[in-house]
Amino acid sequence: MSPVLLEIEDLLQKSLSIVQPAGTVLLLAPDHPELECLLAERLAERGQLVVMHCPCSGPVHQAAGVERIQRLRGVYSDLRIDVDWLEKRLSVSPPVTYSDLCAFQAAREGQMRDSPLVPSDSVDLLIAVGILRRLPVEQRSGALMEFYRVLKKQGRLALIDFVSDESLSDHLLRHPDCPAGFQELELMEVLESAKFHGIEIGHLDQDPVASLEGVAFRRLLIQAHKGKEGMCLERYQGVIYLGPWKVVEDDDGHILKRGQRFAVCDKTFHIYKRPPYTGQFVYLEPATDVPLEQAKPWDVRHPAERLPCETKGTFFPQYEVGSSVASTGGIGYMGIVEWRTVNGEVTRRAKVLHRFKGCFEDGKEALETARRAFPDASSYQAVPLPFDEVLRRRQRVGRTVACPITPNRE
Amino acid sequence: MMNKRVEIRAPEHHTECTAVLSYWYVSVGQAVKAGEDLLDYETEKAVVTLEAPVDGILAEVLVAEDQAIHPSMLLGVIESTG
Repeated sequence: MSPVLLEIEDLLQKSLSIVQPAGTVLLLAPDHPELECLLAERLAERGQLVVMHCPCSGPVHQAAGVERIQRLRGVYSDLRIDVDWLEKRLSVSPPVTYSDLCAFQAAREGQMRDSPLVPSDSVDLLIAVGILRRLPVEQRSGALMEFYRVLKKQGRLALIDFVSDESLSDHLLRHPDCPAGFQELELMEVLESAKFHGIEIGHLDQDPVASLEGVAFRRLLIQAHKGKEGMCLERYQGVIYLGPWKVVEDDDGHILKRGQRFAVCDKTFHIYKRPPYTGQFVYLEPATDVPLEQAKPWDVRHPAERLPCETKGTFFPQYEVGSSVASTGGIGYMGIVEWRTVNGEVTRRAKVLHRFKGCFEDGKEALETARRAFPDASSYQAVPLPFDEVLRRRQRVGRTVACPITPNRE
Repeated sequence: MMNKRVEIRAPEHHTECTAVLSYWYVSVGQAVKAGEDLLDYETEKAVVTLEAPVDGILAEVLVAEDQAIHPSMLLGVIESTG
């Protein structure tokens, strides 16, 4: 086994521990057939190991004599594509004319839609080793979104790859000897954009293992989790972050202070109870359980603090205008519209806000909505609006929004 | 000197979609400054906040909260103190 795989073996073992009985592990590791043996042995009878090979990504190295492995032929950047199905269709009726080609493409779209090779929400653990750099530059971010799609709600990604210390130029991104697909922080941001949460770097080489044109490359292993979507329901739960950091922020934008009794919705409460967050909190349960079917949507007027009287069930206060708000600290936008006289005197001014979210996620959307709504106005601007302010405005007029407000990651 | 009465009217909207006045930020008789939020109304997709055009006192509310409004409708009157 290669040194890097020995180094990460322990981490892989931890990843495998989340695989439920009869769960599925999908392995994308064309250069490391030895991983197939390792995983098949560790999984034993507990789960199904599925290994995907991509015919576009060079020769297939396959571990010999390993049983209990299901093998698929697919495409790493789009796990819906069934290569065997496509090749069979091509062999039966290869396209000759343009209309043949159109029919073939329609059939391909149908296969991807109706019987994707790897269905959505079907994989407990996806292990991808050295995949990103094999993909065309334009498909690398999309591949991470695909990995997210196929994972089950509490599934996990273990990504082993190279990263660069500097942002890669277009020239280096396409260089055949460049081992990395992303710079370190850029890879984190792409994973965040793909909606992963609890992203952890389990291993990052202290020293570079390669360099090219002055750019240094290191190997890393990342574990990332799926499953922060869903309704925010109030069941009077809270958490206390134990430290050691004074303040931390999660992937939904919740900002927690060390030692603070922090109010969370039911969804966040249960996310914090699972890896990788276990051990970092004390969990505050209410004295009287609120059944899930009776839980109300999160009230935006609720302050960040979970009050002891709430967890004790003695008093549920009515929140006053001006109380602190459980904002994520991000920025939204509102449109500002002005009507002026010919002399430039402002006669009327209006703010335009998203009806349900309380703000627009980007300035362009705010501007376009304002223009469309009031084509007779004199001027339009998009103005940043902190989420704190959004929540205060909604609090003042008695409207609720979903908790938490998530920055523009959709 | 007589205070000037400044009419607050709903702006012209690009469609004839239903809009509902959802919130008055000030009550009748209460002072308001130019640029402060005066009222909200909701359309299908947006909340529009009209600001007070002048310093003054909100003298009349002609459309109550939760009532439908249409373009150019007179919503209230401010007596200017500026």
